[in-house]
Amino acid sequence: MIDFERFTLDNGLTVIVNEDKSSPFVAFNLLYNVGSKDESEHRTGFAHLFEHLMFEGSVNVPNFDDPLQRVGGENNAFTNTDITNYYITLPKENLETAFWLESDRMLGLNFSEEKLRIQKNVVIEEFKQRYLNKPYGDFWLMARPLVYKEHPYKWATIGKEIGHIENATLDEVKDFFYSHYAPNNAILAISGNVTVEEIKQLTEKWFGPIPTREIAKREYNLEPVQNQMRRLTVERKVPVDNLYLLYPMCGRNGDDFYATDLISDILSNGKSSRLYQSLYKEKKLFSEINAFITGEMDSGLFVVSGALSKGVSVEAAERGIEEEMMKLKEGFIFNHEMLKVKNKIESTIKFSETSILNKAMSLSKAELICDAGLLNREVGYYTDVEINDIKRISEQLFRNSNKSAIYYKAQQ
Amino acid sequence: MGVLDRTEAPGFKTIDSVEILQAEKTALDNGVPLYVINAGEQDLVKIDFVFNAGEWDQEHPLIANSTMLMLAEGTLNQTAEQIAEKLDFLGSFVYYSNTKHQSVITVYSLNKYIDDTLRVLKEVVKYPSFPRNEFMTLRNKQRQKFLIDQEKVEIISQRAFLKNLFGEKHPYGKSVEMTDYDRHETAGLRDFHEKFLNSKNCQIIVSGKKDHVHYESLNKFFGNNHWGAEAIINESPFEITGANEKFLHIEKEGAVQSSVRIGTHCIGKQHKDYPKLQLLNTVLGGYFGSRLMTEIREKQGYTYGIGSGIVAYKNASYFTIVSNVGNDVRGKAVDAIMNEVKLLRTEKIGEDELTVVKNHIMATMLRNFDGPFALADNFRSMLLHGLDYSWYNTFIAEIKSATSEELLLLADKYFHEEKLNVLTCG
Repeated sequence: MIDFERFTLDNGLTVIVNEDKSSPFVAFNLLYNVGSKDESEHRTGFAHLFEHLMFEGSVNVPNFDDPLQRVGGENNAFTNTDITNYYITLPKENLETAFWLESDRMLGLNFSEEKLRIQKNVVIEEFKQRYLNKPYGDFWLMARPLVYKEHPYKWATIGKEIGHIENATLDEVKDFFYSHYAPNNAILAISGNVTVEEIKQLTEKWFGPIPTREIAKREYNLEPVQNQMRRLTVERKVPVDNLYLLYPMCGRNGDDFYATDLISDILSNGKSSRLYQSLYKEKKLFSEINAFITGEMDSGLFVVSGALSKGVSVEAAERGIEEEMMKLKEGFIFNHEMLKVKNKIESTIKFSETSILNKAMSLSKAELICDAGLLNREVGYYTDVEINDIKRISEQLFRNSNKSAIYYKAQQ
Repeated sequence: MGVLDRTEAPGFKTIDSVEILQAEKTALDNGVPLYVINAGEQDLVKIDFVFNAGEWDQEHPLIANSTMLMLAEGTLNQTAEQIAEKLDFLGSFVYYSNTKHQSVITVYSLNKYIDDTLRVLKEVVKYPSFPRNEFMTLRNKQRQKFLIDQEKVEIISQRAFLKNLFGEKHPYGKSVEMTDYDRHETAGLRDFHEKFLNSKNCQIIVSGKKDHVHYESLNKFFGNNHWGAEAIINESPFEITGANEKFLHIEKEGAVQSSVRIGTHCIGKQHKDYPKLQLLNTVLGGYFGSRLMTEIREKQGYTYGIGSGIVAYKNASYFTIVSNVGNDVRGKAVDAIMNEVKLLRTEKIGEDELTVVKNHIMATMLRNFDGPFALADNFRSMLLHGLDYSWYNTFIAEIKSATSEELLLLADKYFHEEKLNVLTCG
């Protein structure tokens, strides 16, 4: 259970405060409702490139990191398909520094050609390091356009290709800022040894004067229902064959989100899970096997990924997974098993609540999804899932017409 | 309210001291040392079983690691599946790991299930049966992982870097070979378990809100008599025989980036110069605003990330700079890195930079002791290095008193660019 208070400034900034006296630090999490889905198809990778530029100085503060490090703060950020999230932890006495720095870069950035040029290089090296220079690193670059045909989820957050990043111009950068970065498009969550009163004052002081901005309207297409199986085989210089099965599922707000998450737990959370026991331990079809959901806002994916054991054919491997899904579709699920995955969820949530940074991040994300109180209702949503839900959703989800299979084959 | 001056930084306080919540030492009835860190507010707990033996003590590669990973894969009375089923049902998380000198079982559990969890753990720790079928499954999995790792430039370069420093016979320099997997058998695991995983060689760290149930359950399952064989541990000495080649390049076909490792032997935590050398390392590459990050990433854009660190093992230590850079700028990047290293011994660090780094180190100390689990992790490292809490007071005093002049001398003594080995792979 996380106690919190919420208030909104006149300019539209939503603020959530969780008082936690247990740490000498405060976590400060600022979420912007902008991700790679807000990019143009010809300028992909932009939201993430922009995240890098947010560290290159703002209108009144030439350097973001230096003053923060001076007061013992640490910070980082990430971008995904839906959000760009900036976070800071710092000693509670120095909390105001976080307000000063974050509000200034919401106010405006210190754009320059030179900074853009350098951050393009950094991002291109990131692209190489994470997506090109390691085995299976390019998987998502291939998987997204296979599964999504219309929705901007069809490109990876890092970008479709390096060329898009190389060609970004300063004008585009500025335009992106003013149409997405604004108090009325952000959620601030704070967790730590603070009072709501104190946060109200600080927020009013530093964020209050920032004007509301007009946010670019989202005009992309939603993904149409898939009606035919898709297959892709690629050969790469990798040592081991991999198989991936991807199934489109509901978005983060969908009615079946929690039940679908539990299906992934039944299949692959922990050593007693079905895929682990049956396909890794018993049949030895895979040396590694996982099932997980990706959790995008509009429509997500249910993914099964596995590394094939030596000498196993891809057909046998895929059949193995299908057989496990068939059991779920037939309702072959035990009460004891349901209780097990629910217990594990409860425990995972309790442990995550020991971290102020986790709490601040989860509160902002929950507020974006519907409202911060969602965080405290989630255990209940999981508990309410019944065997029949698992059966019904499995029948819908694990159909051939809803499947994309990627066979990542080792070059001989 | 006046007009807000955004160019002026708000006032701040520096961290002058770090209060460390100390572990309370007691023992189970059989004498196994029990360290209790009473912190946190939730009804949950982390328990570390720390055995004083690791890769250093194994007779063949892979033994220590496989012994740990096989503990829950079948015991006298239970199959791997039964064990997994019980632990998952309780929502408990158990991790088996080892380092050069420690083998550790870490348990995370809600208090209400700690007794049931430890009941399962008792079997796992005391009576593993190392079934061959399960072992072969694990061995195949590890072999596949090894094959994949061998394709990563940062793994190839790290292995070669350590071999060049310590020599391939030394536990710090030795790396696993493909053929090790073929020779790998359960006999070695039984032997390692018998020798090292017993009550005489065990210490337990409990962290979380103190609850009598922790002690009672631990004592019930691990405390009423000695378990395991009597430990006779001869710490075998190893000679450092690294070739210490100054420049090595390993060609990796198809790589679009090169992995860089630059470094040399270094002093350890017990050495009087260690705190100040750590400060110097932080200036160079130990935090986000470090000189290497500023120059190689933020000014040149050669890399996504670069850092440096002192890796302090129990019996030897090394200093290393680590990065992945574009192939086309590999030479330039190495030159630029070496130039930053050289500047440490030729130009005094400015007062302002020194202040920022000192503040950063103090905050990091505070972070390392924030919350029960962080405290426990630190305490485990103290056990390994034989440190007590006064070490941290000395560390803080040394950091605070450090001057640019003495750092210049330290840089010349320990981080001279001509003493560093440069290894690239790409």
